[in-house]
Amino acid sequence: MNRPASMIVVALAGLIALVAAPSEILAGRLAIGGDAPDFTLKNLAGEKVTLSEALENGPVLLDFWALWCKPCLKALPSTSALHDEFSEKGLTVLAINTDSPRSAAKVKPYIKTKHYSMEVLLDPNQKLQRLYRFNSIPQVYLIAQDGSIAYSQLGYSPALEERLESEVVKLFTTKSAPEEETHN
Amino acid sequence: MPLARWSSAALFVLATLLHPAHMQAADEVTVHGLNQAEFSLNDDPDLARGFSRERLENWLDLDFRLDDVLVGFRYEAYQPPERSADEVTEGITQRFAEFDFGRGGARIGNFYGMFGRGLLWRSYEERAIRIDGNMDGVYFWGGLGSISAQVFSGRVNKGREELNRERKDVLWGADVETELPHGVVAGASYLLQTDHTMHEEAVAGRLSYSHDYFDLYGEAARINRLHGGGRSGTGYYGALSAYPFSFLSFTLEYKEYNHFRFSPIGEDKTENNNPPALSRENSYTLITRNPHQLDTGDEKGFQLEVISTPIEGSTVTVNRTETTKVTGDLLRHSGLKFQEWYGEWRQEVGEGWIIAVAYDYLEDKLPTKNHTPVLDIECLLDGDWGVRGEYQFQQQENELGEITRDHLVLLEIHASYDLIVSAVAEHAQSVRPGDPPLDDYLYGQIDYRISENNFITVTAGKRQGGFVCIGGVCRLVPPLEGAEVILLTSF
Repeated sequence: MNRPASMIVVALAGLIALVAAPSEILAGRLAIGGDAPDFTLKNLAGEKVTLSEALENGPVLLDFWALWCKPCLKALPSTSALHDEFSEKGLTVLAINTDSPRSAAKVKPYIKTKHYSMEVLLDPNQKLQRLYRFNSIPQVYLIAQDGSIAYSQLGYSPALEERLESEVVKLFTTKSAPEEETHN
Repeated sequence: MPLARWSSAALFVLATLLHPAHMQAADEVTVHGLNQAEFSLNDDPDLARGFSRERLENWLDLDFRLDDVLVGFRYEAYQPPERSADEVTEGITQRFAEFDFGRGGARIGNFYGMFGRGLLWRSYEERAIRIDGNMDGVYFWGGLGSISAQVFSGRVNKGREELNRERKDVLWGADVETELPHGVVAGASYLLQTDHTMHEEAVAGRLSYSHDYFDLYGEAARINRLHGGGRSGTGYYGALSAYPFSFLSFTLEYKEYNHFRFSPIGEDKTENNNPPALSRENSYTLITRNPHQLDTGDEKGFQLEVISTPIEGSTVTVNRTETTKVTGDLLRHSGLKFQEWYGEWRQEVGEGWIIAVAYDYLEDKLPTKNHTPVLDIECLLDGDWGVRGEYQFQQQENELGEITRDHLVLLEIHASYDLIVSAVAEHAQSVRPGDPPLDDYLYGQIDYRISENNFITVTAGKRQGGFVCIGGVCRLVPPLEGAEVILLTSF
């Protein structure tokens, strides 16, 4: 069989896999309910921030972004707003910048000028991208206090912005519900 | 036996996807995979220069985690690779085991890493430009209190050809960093590579200081070629970021690289280091067509970027970049390699409208002079939907004084990342009366999320070739006259 024929075989195999594979199999380690891998990165002040330590205070929102990524920049205001609204309730927002070292010096000026309030971490060699296994940004993970992934989303749109906020609200609602029952 | 190879690869993917037993060998074991397949069928006549007409490339990463242990491998297959007409290669190119000790970790097998900002060592992958500088060896990292350290020993990947080649030379490296009082961080790196023909040592020291109103970073490095490797080299990089007003900040960077190419022994295509290039990476197609490729052998330069938010909803960016030879004069442009002016005003208008105007002037050593204005309008509709239009114009004057003009129009409808439909038309024309159009291009692209973790991108039509550069490292993307499919699957 010639080369194009073999390519068709591969393409068909890929399509069959996509169509036939049950969604619970396609959703693997980083699926909803799975454990979020722990990590340590430095923030803009050079201090180390560890996910497991941040989780001690409550849920954590990870927002992966880069200066070259226009949708990411559109999403940052809402990420910052989530920090403003929910940080007192225990939400830690970590905006993880994935720009390579060439842009490292430009990240803090951008954040300062735009007056964003959330914590920004630097991942210049895309270590976390390999650990969390994704290829596109903006990518968001909402992690419950027990370390499991409560929600994830890729891309940016006004509707996704609202969806993310409702997921954060839901996380706090489900967290507080058992406590209220106990009090009653 | 290409078919056998591909069939086995396809079956492997199928087996992994379709059998839950493979996914959960034990309750504690979790499996994760990522597969990227790219296929193109290309009838562009320019492909005679060495690109293959049919191309199929595939990367499959699989890893398995059990508590603090992570093991994995990468399978790559090329039938043929992008820039080869005949070569068909496939095989396991990476395998590793990683152990997390809490305060540190160790990895045996293939790894990536970086010291400082990559002045002396950066092992990384950028698939968009077909760079994969993974190492093969052992890598340890850890921290205690305010001190952190990294140590490695490994053989350097020399590119895709390594499927048929052997890694020989070993690179050793160690780096230590300590946090001092008052926001000061100091670090030092050491690297060594040696064999019977050559002995190279590299050392670097860095210092950074963080303040409420500014940040400073400086790093100096030296490569000592003790025998067999030619002249010793030096590299300097400094950055000042300042935030004097709430509506304005700027970054000023300086570089000087002299005989600072730090390649694996006997290799001239790969580099162990990836120092900051100080060239702006633009997102507009025509501006990126004439990039500057970093030359660590002989260049110095600066980049100043000012960012401001003068009024509500606006962001203004101004960038000035210049690079000359080490012996050149930056202010007088002598020994000029390239210089660029870039200005952009991005304004949010009303509910959901974003309008951006940009202008770029770029001049290189030939000299070629490019003037490129851009208009970019986007409307975010209610919900997930949005539309975007871009008009780019470029006037290019080459070293002979000949002028060409290029017009590019992009129209895009998108529903977040679930569906993006775009069409791009480009028309290039010489300004001499009577000259026929240089060429016209028209292609369409659909990006579609098939399911939660599966994406497909289909491009069809005629697309101009050109360079894609990341961090001063460039890849010549071939022109396309045909179709291209990219399939991304994660599980």
